[in-house]
Amino acid sequence: MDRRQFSLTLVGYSLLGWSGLVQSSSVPSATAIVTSLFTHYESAVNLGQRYLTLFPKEANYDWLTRTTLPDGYNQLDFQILKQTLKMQRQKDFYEGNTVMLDGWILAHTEARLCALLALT
Amino acid sequence: MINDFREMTNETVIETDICIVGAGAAGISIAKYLNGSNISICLVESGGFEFEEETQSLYQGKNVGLKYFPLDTARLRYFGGTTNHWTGWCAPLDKIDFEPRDWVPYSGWPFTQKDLESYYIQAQKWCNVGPYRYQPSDWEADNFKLLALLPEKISNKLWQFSPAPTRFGIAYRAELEQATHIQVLLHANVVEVVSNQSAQVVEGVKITTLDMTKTGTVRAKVVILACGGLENPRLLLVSNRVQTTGLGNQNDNVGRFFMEHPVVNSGELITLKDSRFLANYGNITIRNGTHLKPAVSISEIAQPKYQTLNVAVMMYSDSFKEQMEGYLAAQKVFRALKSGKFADNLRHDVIHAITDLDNFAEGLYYRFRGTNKPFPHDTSISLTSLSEQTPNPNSRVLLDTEKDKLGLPRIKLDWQLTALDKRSIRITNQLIGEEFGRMELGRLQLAEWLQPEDDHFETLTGGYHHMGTTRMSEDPKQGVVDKNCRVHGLANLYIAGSSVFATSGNSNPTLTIVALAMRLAEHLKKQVVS
Repeated sequence: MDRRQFSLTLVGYSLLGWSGLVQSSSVPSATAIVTSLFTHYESAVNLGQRYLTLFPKEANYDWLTRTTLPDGYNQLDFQILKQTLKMQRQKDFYEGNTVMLDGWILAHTEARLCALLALT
Repeated sequence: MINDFREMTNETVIETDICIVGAGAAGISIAKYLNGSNISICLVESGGFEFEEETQSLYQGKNVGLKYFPLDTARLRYFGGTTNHWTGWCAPLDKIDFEPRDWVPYSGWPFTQKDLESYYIQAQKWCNVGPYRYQPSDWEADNFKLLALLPEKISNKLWQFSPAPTRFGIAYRAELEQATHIQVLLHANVVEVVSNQSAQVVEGVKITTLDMTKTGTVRAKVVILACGGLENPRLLLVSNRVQTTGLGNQNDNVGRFFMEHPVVNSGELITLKDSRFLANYGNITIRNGTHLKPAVSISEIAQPKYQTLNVAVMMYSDSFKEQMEGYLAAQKVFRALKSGKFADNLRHDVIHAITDLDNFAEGLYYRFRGTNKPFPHDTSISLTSLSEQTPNPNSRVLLDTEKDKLGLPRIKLDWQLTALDKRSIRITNQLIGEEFGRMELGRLQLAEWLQPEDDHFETLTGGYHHMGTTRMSEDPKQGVVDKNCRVHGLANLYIAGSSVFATSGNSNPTLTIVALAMRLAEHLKKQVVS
């Protein structure tokens, strides 16, 4: 899926609303979901690229999806998904599961979400 | 009684029970504590009641280690000593600062914080600050609330601030003037601590006027050096007539272990929500007349876990940052180009990404509208770390070949820091970053110089705090004074002031200097009377 397709997908999400999408026959991909988390696409991609420079072995779309998104992510209500990711970020910070990008202390989860985006 | 040595006859000999050298916070506190005890005291001071340039110039010296303040600006040589430019910050050393820590070389005092507590309580009054209440919980009833931090990582720490810092020379001059058993001797420069032929007992000190037209002797049962962390070791080292390496220097410890409180810019915190929750950290808050300033510090639980020193971090709002934006941006681009990197724009990327993750629905709305979401309410807060320094024998005060007007060798200060000092600051700030992230308050960026795991420091300054150069240890091989501040090997020579600190903690030293002075005075009261 290229950026134009992302944008179309996002516009679709925006028009239909998340719940509408989930209820529709087409199941959103990880890319589409992660893309819709970010309004500042370029910023997220930029962060993701920095992350992948530090952790080149993680430049694996399927692995990042499995590691970062909860099971059944594409079936979850978006608020629940967001809440789950938020809890995962807090857990990362609690456990010290953080990464330093240009000195910024970020949760692995949030950095990997950006990395997912950067891979598409 | 106050006398001026310049007006006394040449070769005067003064007999006294206790001779205190130096009328700063420590010296005046000891004299004040013993006032009314019938112990005769001679408090010898190099300067007069006012700043005198010529006397102050005796403090000139060289910095041969890390960049540091000119030595004659880092302390004051007249009645009241360095309290004459003291800024009024008070906090006791933390409990852990007194404990032996196997990851901090040479750590551990011969007594605990609890042992000093009764003196700290009295010192609060003499330093003109509030009640001895330094736990943040002590102030919750006064509507002073701080962040609920994870004690496994970070804790809150409180300072009290004296808005009218006690100038000991002004505040306690009248009391000393009226004291019947105390003689303050102004304009008397000590040039030697005189010992007997076996260097086991001191007999007194030799004094001279600055123009050296008058000399004299103060003979005393007990001599206390209270001239500060640079001058105490200097006086011991120059008193080498009998013990050729310097008095009390049989184990080559005098002047070693110089510690400051490294003060560095350690990073930036961006708050992505309303930052009023941080207001108490950025300002001085007054509760019941007490001025409070909190900081966050690495907790006493985390220090052994992460093997760090005790580091505190102060938060300051970047009020002038906007004005400086153009300059800083240009500086950043220049630095980036110089280092072969592109200019770093991650700051905005981080703000965007994190706020997106927090507010995706709102983001979709703006995306649909085809407009950008308004920039989030972010506040940039500068982080300044104030750190304990590793006791390090290679960080030291030495004698120079150059001499002052009195013919005494000047000081060479070789201030050294170690990789542990930097690592401790880095880890503390990382933990703060984790805590602010966990609490969804914002994100922290470490200062660029702090990111590499080396011992290189930038933006380094100190707190004008000179500690450790006659450090306390029950083992004469690891220290100069014992638990009662008595110089090892000498029956009646004592040291007062921050030079006896075994470790420095991150608290400003004045309150501990005064508390230790009281403790020494209490010890001497029993010793001299008996």
